[in-house]
Amino acid sequence: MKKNDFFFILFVLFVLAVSYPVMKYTAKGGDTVKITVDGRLFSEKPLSENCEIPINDTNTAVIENGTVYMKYASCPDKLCIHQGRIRNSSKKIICLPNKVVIEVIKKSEIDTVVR
Amino acid sequence: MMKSARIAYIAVLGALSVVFGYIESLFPFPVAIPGVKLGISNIVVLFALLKMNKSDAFFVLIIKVLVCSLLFSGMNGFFYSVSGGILSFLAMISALQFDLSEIGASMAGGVFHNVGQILAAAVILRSLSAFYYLPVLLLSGIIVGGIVGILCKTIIARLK
Repeated sequence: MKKNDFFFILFVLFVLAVSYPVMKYTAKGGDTVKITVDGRLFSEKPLSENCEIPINDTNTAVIENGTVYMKYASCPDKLCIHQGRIRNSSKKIICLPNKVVIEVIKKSEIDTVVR
Repeated sequence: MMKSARIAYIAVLGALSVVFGYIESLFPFPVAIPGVKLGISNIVVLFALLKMNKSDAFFVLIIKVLVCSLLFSGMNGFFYSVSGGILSFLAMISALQFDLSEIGASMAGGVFHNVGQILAAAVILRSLSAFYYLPVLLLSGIIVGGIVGILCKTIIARLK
């Protein structure tokens, strides 16, 4: 190991130390479930209302007691189902084969926050 | 090195990288983006880079990316592999130029392999959500890259 190796490690750890709190800190409690398919808005539902949302025959999302989870996916790996329940913006459910992203957002901030 | 010997070495290393790619596909990565890989098979590319030259290592990389991803991870995995593979290759070359050791170069390769995969995922998903996994992937890049580098150094020391 040379001196520059440690500089590189320190640099990456620095990026890590900066990005991790940013990810954590920007996590806000949300009230709205936003579902996008292939980068386009598919639907928005309030988090407080228990319901089942079919997404283009490929996936089914379920809102239950203030959390949202994926109940069904047509893809073979079912990773989005294993991603479990989310309740705030720190986590997202991503189904890559069907290009579905489920996130929890705060409705009042949609007009101001561009992510 | 003779031309035929070079071709044979590239082919053998390419085949070895496919084996590593298969082993890698057996271990699911605890990150929820399917197709994202740890990058253990990078060891073969690093070996080629250190023992042969850049163009030979690049051929090994192309074999690895084409065969591994099309065999084991489908089309999305292919984009991840291309993006991760090329970024990690460039990172390893620059790391060696900037006087990092084999281990440091391997860590750079591991980190940028994961950065490349995130970029590809962000493009495919058309969303920055993929960057949520950046901290995890940076750390795993350092750890896996370090292990790969130590292994590669040990292997080269044993080979005459």
